[in-house]
Amino acid sequence: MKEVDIKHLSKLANIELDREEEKKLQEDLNKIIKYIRQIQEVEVRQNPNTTHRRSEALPLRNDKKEKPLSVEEVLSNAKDPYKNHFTINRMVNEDDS
Amino acid sequence: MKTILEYRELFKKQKITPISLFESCLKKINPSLNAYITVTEELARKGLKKETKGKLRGIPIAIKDNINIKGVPTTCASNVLNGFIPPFSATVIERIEKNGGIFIGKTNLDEFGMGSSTERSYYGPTKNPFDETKVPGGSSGGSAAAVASGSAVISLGSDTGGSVRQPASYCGLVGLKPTYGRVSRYGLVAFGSSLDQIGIIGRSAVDVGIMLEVIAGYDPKDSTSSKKEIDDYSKINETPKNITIGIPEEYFKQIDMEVHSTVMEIKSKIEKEGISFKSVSLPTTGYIIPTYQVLSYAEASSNLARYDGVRYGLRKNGENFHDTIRKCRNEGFLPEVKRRILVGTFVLSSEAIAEYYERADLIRRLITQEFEDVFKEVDYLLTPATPTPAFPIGERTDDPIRMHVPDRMTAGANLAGLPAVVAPAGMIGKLPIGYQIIGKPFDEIGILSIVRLVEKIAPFEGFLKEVQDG
Repeated sequence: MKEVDIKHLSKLANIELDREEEKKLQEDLNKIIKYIRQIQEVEVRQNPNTTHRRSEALPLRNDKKEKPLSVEEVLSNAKDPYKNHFTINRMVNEDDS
Repeated sequence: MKTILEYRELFKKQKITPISLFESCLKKINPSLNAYITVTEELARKGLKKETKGKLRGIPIAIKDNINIKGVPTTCASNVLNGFIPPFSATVIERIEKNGGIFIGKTNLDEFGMGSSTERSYYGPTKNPFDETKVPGGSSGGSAAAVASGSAVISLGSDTGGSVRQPASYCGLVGLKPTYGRVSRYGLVAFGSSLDQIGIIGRSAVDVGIMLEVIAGYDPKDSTSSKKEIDDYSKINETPKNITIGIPEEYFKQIDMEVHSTVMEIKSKIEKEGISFKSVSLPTTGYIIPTYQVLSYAEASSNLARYDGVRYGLRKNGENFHDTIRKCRNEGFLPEVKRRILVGTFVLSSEAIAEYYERADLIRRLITQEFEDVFKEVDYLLTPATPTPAFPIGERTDDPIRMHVPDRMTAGANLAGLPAVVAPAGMIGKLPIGYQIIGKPFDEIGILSIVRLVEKIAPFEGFLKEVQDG
């Protein structure tokens, strides 16, 4: 079995790891993946992938406008809101324009 | 501590008032157990003033801290949600409020519900009220410890792989995971969306039934919630007739001898009531844990991608946008959550998805099919709830595989979307141990009626004395 590429995975998952954490998680991941590999032993039928087989059709709600959260409520947990917006770091530098 | 029906009667006769009951529960909050992350005394007092009538009038209720109550912090026991105050309540919370329930607090859990011991919390571990050196089980360990120690009459938890039932087993309580779709998930913080279900932890089958009647039912805000009507909880009192209970042999392997004999004693007692038993087989049981791990980790990695500190929670400003997000997630999540996100990311990655995620999804179908086939022969299944009683705090925190061992008994019901209930079978030394009844979809009243029958023929005598007398 090939070792998992922890650097690549942490980049995909947007988690920054320090070297020590990376080493520990690399070991853990190898252990876990070795363990879950046992599902390869099961003989499976190629059924279409649907998660729950339910006899009931998913109910639809009425197409009716409902009162949404207010802008103030939505922004109430944002750390640095600016004029009804969430803020993030500047993405485009003035030099880029 | 009494049942909801008994309190109703006492309120009616004016022997006690909802306020005096609340005060006595408040006094029973034991800080050394660490069952609560937030005690909502102010909210409770406001609720008591309203004097709302309903099925839960004046009943103190504890809520797992991954279910939103408007205006009260939801932490999910994670630093990543530091300071988050939800601007809306979960549907279950609104339904409890309409029925006069009183919220005493938000309870501790393994971060985002990921664990079987309530040790992996940013707010420290919860302890088992029967023995403070043992875990209360998880991830709804705070909700179980609260009810077992008498600070709440009943509580809500969530169950993705056994998180309501396993702590119920370790704390001598009744824990119900309803059928997938029975209870709205709106306002429950998502972990594994195809497996998650809000569950109930209480002291008796009827209490759990009363709460289920309040919270169950279709909700336009959760498209997976079902329109199926629920029977009146009073039917739980009817003794089940002409039923057969299956004993799946695979569930009785690799368990403690004492657990085996305690559950078998329950079986003989039920048998004496004229109910027949039959041995059955569920051959894929051995693959439940790895299948559950692949699917729940995959769903978790996707669900937890939303935590970036931009709209709510922990904000960590970095040099650029990606840096800001990574810093927040690194400081926000504890190691177990990171582990699960990374494995989930792996099983969904292009090189691994066919071998892991898609394959696990097919095995899930196989597991579901096996349950369906068995339910053509029998009406219910009786199994142990956990392979052992509560284990010592610290014993498994460093072993990501061993921590999952108890899930073998419980996660099958999540994978197949079935209702399952755990109730006390007896004591092993000073620790309680539970049995589990699994039923057909939407037969919650049926599985609770078996628990009720056991309560009548073999009442559990292990409740903590100081709680029982209070």
